[in-house]
Amino acid sequence: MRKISISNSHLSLSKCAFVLLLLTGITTISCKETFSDLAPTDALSDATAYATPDRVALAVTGVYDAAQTGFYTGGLAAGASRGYPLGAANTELGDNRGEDVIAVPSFYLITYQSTYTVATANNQFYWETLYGLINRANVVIEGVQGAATGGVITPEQALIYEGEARFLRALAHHELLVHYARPYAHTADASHLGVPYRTKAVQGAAAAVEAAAQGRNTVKECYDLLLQDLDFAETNLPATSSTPRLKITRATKGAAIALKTRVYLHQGNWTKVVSEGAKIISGSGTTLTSPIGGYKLTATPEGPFSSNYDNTESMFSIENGAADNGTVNGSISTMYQISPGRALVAISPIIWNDPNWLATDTRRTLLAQNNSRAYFSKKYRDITTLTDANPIIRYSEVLLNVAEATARVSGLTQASIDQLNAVRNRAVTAANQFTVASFATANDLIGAIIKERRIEFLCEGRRWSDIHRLAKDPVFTSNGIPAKVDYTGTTFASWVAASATGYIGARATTAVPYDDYRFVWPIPQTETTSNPVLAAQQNPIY
Amino acid sequence: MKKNYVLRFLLLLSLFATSVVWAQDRVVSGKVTSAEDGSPIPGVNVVVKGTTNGTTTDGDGTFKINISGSEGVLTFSFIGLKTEEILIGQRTVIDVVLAVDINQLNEVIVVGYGTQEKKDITGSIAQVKGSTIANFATPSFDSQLAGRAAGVQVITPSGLLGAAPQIRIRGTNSISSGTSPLIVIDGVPSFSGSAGGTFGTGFSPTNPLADINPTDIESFEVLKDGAATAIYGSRASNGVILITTKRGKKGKAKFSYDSYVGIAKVSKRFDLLGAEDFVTINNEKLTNAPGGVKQANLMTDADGNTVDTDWQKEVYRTGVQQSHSLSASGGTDKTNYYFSLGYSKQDGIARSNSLERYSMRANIDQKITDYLSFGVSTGITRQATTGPLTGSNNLSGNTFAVIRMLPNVPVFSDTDVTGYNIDAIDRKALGRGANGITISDGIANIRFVLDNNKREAQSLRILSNAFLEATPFKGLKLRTQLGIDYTHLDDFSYQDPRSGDGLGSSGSMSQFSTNQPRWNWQNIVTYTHTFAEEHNLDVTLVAEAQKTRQSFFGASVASLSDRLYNENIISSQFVSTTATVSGDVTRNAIDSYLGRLNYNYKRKYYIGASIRRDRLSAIPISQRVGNFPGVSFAWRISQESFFSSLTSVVSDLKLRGSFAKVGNVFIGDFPYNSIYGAASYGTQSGIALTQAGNNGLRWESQRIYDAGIDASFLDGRFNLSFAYWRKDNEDIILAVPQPPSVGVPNNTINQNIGYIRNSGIELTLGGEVLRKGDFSWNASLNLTTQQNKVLTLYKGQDIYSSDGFNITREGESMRALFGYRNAGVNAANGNPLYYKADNTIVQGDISSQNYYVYDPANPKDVSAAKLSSLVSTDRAVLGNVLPTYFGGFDNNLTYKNFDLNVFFRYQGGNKIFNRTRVDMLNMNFVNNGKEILGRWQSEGEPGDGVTPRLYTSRSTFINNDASTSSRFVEKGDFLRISNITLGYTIPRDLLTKAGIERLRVYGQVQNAAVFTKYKGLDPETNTSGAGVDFNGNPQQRVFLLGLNLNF
Repeated sequence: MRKISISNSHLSLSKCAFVLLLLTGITTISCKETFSDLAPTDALSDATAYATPDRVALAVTGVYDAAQTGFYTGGLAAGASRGYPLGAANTELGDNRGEDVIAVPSFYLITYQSTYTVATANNQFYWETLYGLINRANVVIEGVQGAATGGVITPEQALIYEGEARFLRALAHHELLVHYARPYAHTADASHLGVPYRTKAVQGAAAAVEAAAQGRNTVKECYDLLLQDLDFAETNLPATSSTPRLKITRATKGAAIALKTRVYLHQGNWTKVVSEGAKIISGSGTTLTSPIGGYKLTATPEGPFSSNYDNTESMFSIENGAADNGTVNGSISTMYQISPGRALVAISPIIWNDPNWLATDTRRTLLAQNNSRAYFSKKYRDITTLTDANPIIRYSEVLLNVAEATARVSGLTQASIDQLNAVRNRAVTAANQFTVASFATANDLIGAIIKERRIEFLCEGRRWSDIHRLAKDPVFTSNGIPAKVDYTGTTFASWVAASATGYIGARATTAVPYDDYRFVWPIPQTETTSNPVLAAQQNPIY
Repeated sequence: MKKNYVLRFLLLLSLFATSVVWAQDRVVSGKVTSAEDGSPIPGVNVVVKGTTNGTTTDGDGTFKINISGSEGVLTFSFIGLKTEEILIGQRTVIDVVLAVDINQLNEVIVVGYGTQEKKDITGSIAQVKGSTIANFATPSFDSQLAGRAAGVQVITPSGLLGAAPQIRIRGTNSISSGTSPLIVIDGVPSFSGSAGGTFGTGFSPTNPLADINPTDIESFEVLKDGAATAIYGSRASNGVILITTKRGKKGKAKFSYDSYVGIAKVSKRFDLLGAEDFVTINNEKLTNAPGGVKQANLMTDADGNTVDTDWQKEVYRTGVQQSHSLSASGGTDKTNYYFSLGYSKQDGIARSNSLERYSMRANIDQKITDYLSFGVSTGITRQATTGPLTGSNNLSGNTFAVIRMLPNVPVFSDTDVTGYNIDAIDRKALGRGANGITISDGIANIRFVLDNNKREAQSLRILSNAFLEATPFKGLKLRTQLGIDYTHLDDFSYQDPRSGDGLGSSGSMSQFSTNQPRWNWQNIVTYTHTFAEEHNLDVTLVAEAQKTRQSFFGASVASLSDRLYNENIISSQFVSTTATVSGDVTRNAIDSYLGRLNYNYKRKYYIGASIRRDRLSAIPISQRVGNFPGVSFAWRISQESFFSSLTSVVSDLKLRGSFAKVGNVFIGDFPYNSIYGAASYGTQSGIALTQAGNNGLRWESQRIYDAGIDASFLDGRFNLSFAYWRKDNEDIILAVPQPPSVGVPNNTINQNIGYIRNSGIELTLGGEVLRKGDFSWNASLNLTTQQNKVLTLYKGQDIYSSDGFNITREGESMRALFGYRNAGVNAANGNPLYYKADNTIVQGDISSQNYYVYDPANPKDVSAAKLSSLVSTDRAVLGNVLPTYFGGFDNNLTYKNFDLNVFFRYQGGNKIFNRTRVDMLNMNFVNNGKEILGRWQSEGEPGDGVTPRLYTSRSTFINNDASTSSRFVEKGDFLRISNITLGYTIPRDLLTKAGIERLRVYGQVQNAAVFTKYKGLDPETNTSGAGVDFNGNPQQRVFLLGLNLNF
C-alpha cells in the first residue's frame, strides 16, 4: 500500500475502452427490468388452475387428497402426514374413543384415556384437517362452477364434480359433529350447538375474516345442510365407474345413499333410513343386492380387505398409495398389525371375550391374529407400502343400518333379521344362524344388531359413532364413554374367545359419564385463539 | 522509546513524476521483524510521518527510504501489528521489531462492498480475526464465534457434527421469517442454515458454513447497526457477517502447516437407573394400577452375573478428531497468491456421527497493467457427514432411545441371528430378556440401529468469484465481480430389514439429489478523494443481481433384495412397486442498486449515508421495489483542540450514531402467491390450493437505531466500546394464523402484521492488562444485553408454537414458555398438584384421571363434590427463552515462548423447559432417570415432594407431558470455560538449520467446564430453537494437541 500516487498521465485508449466496458456492465443489470419477476416453477397459480378440463379434474382429485392426507404437525411443507382426517385417522380415533380396542402404550393413550386438552394434537388436527377438506371442497366447487360458466367443462360434468365435492363436505361435517358436538338427540329439537357448517370458499384474508364471523350452527341445521349436500350428490353422481378402483375410491350415487342411511340413523329418523335403504337393497332372504351400482356382500367377511380396491361390498373407501399414505406413524396397517407392524391398537377382551361373538365365528380367524401377548386386527395388510384403503362405508353397514331402523319401526320382522343375517351368516355356522325365534322382543333384535356392528366393524373406527348416537337412547346407551381395559393390566390369558362370563378383569381406564365435559372434544386452541366467535362457543369447561 | 535523534534529513528522489520534490539528502535502510517469532515481515508501510514519502518492506523485511530535511520520524505500520514511530536522527540503519497489536487487530475493516479504516468507521462493526479461531477442533467455524463479539449470540445446541449453530445478531427479529444473519464470503452472499433445507430432505445435517476451512479465513466482520448493514438493504435485518479469506502478501513464499489431533468426550451424561432400580420402579408403575402384575425381572448372563447395561456407552462414545491444513502464499509486485489444502476427519461423540471434509482454495490476484487488475478466489469443498436419527420423538432417535433402553437386558445376544439382542416375537423391538413384556412402543435396540441403519449426506460446494478492477485515475475504482455459490448434496438413508424401522418395509432406502446454484454479479464504483486536505469523501455505487435456483429429485425404495445394497439405490435390487419418486424446483432473484457516501471533515466530523433499492422476486410486483436508507454520524472528540490536554490518557474518543431502515429477504420464495400445488390422492394425481395468497404483501422492514462511544486509552493500551441499540420490526411478514375452521392451507396467510422490538446495550473492554518483562496479559471482555418484546400481533391474538410449549403474546418476550404451574405433590396420596388461574390448588387424581379441588384439611378427598378441572385457561407464561445477557471474556497470556489462552463464555436471564427430564420420568415400560427415585410411595414415604406416585402408562396425566409445566422450567444461566490453550513456540535458533521459521505446539481443552444450575446435559441444549430441551444430544469436550509450522 504505497502512499505514493500513481502517475496521472493521460488516459490511454485501452483504459478508456475498459472503463466503458465496466460501465456497460453496470448498466446491463438495469436493462433487465424483468430480472426479478419470477413465477413459481412447481405450482400453478389460482388463475390458471381451472383453465383446462384436465386441470379441473386434477383439482377435484385434490379434494380427495385433503380427505386422505391433510397436514399434521409441521404443516404442508414438511409433508407430515398421518392419514388425517379420513385416510386412517378417523378409523384409529373412532376405535380408540371406544372400548372395543386397547391403545397399546403409548400412541393413542390420550384419546383412549380421554386426557385430551385444547392443545392435544389428535383432536386438533382432526378438526383442522376436516375443515381443510371442507374448504378445499368449497374452493373447488367455486372453481368448477367457474369452469362450467367459462365453457371449459360441460355443465353436466360440473354437476358430477360438484357432487363429489359436496359428498366429501357432508362426510367431513358429519365427522365433526360426531366428535365435537353432542348427539342429535341431546335436545328434543336438536337446537344445541353443532359445528360451523361452511359452504363458502375461502382463498384469501378478506374471505377468511368473513367466514370467521360464522358461529356454530345448531345440530339440526348441520344435519339439514349435510343432507342437502348428500341429496345433491345422489342426484348428480354416476352410479358406478368403469374402473373398479375408482368405483370405490371416488364418490358415487350409491355411496351418497349409503351415507344418508348412516346420517338418518344418527338423527333417529328411522323411516328415512328404511326409505333410503330401499333404494339400494333389493332381493329376498339374505341375498340382497343394490340396483344402483350393483353392490352386494362378498362371499366371506374377508372380501373387502383382501381385495380392498376391487370388491362388490366397499361403497366408499379412501385410497392410499405407496407414495402417498399415512406413513409408518399413522397408516392403519402399521397401527393395527402385529410385527412387523407396530401393533399399537389391540382388540380389547371386552369384545373378544363377549359370549355373543361366537368362538367359531370365522372373523376371529380371518380378520384377527395374535402375537402371544394380545389379539390384533388383520384387516389391513400392506405393511410394506402402506396402501390399504381406509374403509368409510360398506354395503354391510347399509344392511345393518336398515336392519336396526326396520326393527325400530316395525319391530321383530323377518326383513330385519334377514338383513342382519346377510352380514352375519357368512361368518357363523348354519346351526348358529338367527331366526325369528332367536329373539323374544324387538329390543333383543336391536341389541343383537348393535352387537353385530361392534363385531363386523371392529377396527374400522365405527365404535365411537355408535356410542355417540346411542348416548341418549333409553335402552342401548352406554351412558357415556365406557370404562376400558389398560393394556398393562392384561396378559395373554386375558383374551378368551366367547368366554361364558365375558371379560371380568380390571377396567382401569374409568368411564366418562355422558354429562362429563370430556364426552365431546374441545375446539382446539388454534381455533379459539384466532376465532373469538368460536372461543365464546367452546364446549363447556375446556 | 528512546532513540537517537537525527540531525539532518535527506531528500528523497521520487520514483514517480508526481511526487513532491524533495531535496535529496541520504538513504536510510533497515529490516522489520516480528516480535512474535523474529521472522522478517514483508509489506510493512514505512512512511516519514506527516509526508507522503514512503515505501514498503520487501520479501525479506528490508527497506530503503530516501530522507531529506533535518528532522523526522519514521512510522512503521502493518495490519494487525502495533505501529512504531522512530526518530530517524542520524541513523542510516533502523531495524524495527513490530509486536502484535491486540488492541487494534486491523487498521482496515471490511465493510459491505469495500473496506474502511477502523478509525473512520461510523457504524457498529465487530471484527474477529480468523487466527483467533483457526486452531479449534470444531465442525464449523461459526460455532467458535460464540462470545467473541458483543451483540453476536451463537448457540451450539449439541455436540452433533454437521448441525448448524443458531446465530443471532442483536436479537431475534422475526416470528415467521428467517432470523439468521446474511453470510457474505469474499463479497458473495452465501448459503447458510442447512443445506437442502428448502426441501427438508436432510437425513444428516449439513452445515454449509462447515464447508469453509477455518484456517483459510483472514477475518470476520459482523455488521450490526443500521450504518453498517443498510448497504445490504433488504438482506440486513438479521445482521450481516462478512467473511474474508486469506490472500497472498508481497514477499517470499510462505508455507504453513496447521494440524491437530484430539479426542472428544461427552461433557455430561444422563443419570439413568441401573438394572435393580429399573426393576423396582417399573414393577411399582405396573402394580400401582389395578390388575397390574410385575413384569420387570433381573436377568443373569451366562457367567452368572446380573445384566446391568449402560446404554449410554452404546450410544455415545469418545471420538477421534483430526485436521490438517497446508497453505502456501506469497506475492510479487504484480501477483499474489494463496493456495491451501485442508483435510478434517471428526468422529462425533454420538455413535455413527462423523464429519469428513476435503477442501482446497486458490486465491490469486494479478496486476495486468498499472490500472487494471484481475483476481480469482475459489474454494472447493467436499463434505461428508453421517449422523444418527436425533428427532425428539423418533423411536429410533438416539437420545429418545438411550434414556428408554432397558438396563436389565444385554446389548448383544449370541442366540439372535443378528448377534444383537432383538426380541424373538416382536422383531422390531429390543429383546425383552427376563422381563415379561417388551419395551413400550416396540423401540428398537438402539445399538443395532446405530450400527446398521445409515443416514448420510455428501456435499460438493464451490464458492468462487472472479473480479476485474480498473483504476482509471487515482481515487476512482471500477470493479466487476461475478460470484458463484454452488452446492450439490446427495442425501441418503438406509433402514436395515432385520429390525427397527426397516422391518416393516423389509429394508428401505431413500436418496435425494439436491442442486443449489446461485450466481451473483456485482459492479462497483468507488471514488475516494480528499479535497483541500480536510474534506475526505468516499463514494460507492453498486449494481448487483443475484439468482438462485434450488431443485431436488429423489427416490425411495423398499423390500430390498439383499443387505449388501446399502450404499446407494441399486437398480432392480428392490421390489419395483415399492419405488416412489419425488422432486421439486424453485427459484428466487433479486436485483439491486445502491449508493453510499461517506464524508468527514479533518477526520473529526463524520457523516455517512446510503440507500439501497432492491427488487425481490418474493414480493408482489406492485410492491416489489424496496428502498432502504441509512444515515450515520460520528464525532471524534479526541481530534478537537480542546481535548488535546487529555490525549495522553484518552488517546481516541469517538461518539457515533446511526439510523437505518432495512428488510428481510428470508421470507420464502413465493410468500404472496395463491398457489395450486401438488395434491395427490393415493395413486391419483391432483392439485389443490396449497397457499392462500396476499397480493398486498409488502417488504418486511425494520428500523435500527444505534448510538455508541468508542474510546482508547493510554496510547491505545485499552479500548472501550459501548453502544445502545434498538431494532423495531414494525412491519414483519407474519404467517398470520387463520381460524383452522376456515380451512385455508396451513391455516395461515402471510400478512404484514406484527411489531417486535429488540433493544440492548453492548460493551467491549479490552487491552493489555499487564506487561512485565517477558510476561504479558491481554484481556478482552464483552457484554451484551438484549430485551425482546412483542408489541403488536394480528388482532392481539396469541400464537402458539406447534409443539404447544411456547407462546408469542403481546407484551411478552417472543416464544415465551407457557404452561401449567405445578404446586408439588399431595403428600397424602401422591397426586400432582397444580394452581388454577385463580391460584386455588387442584389435585390430579391419578386413578381416575380427573382433577379435584385440593382441600388441605382433607387432602385425600376426591369425591364427586370436589370435581374440578385443569384447562387451557389455567396456563401462564413461565419464562422467556431468549437470554437477556451474554458475552465472553478472553485472556491471552504470554511468557517467553509460552502462550496461554483462557476463554470464558457466559449467558443468562433465560429459562429452559427441560422436556428431557419429563421423558425420563416416563410411565411406560422403559428406563427412567434417577429423579424418579424421589417419587411418592406412601404417606410415610412421600419422596421429594415434587415427583408424584407412579402409575403405568399415565405420563400424560402425571407429568402433563404434552404441555410446559413449571416443575420442569429451569434457569439457563451459565458460565463456561470455553477454551484453554497452552502453546509453546520452539526457539528460532533451534529451527533455522532445518529451514523452519516458526514451530508452535499446543495443547487445548475445549468446553473445559460449565458452571450452571441447569439440570439437563447442557444449558445450550435447545432442540426446538425456542428454549426447549427435548431429547437433545450431549455437548462435546475436546482435548487436543496441535502444531503450527511455518517456513
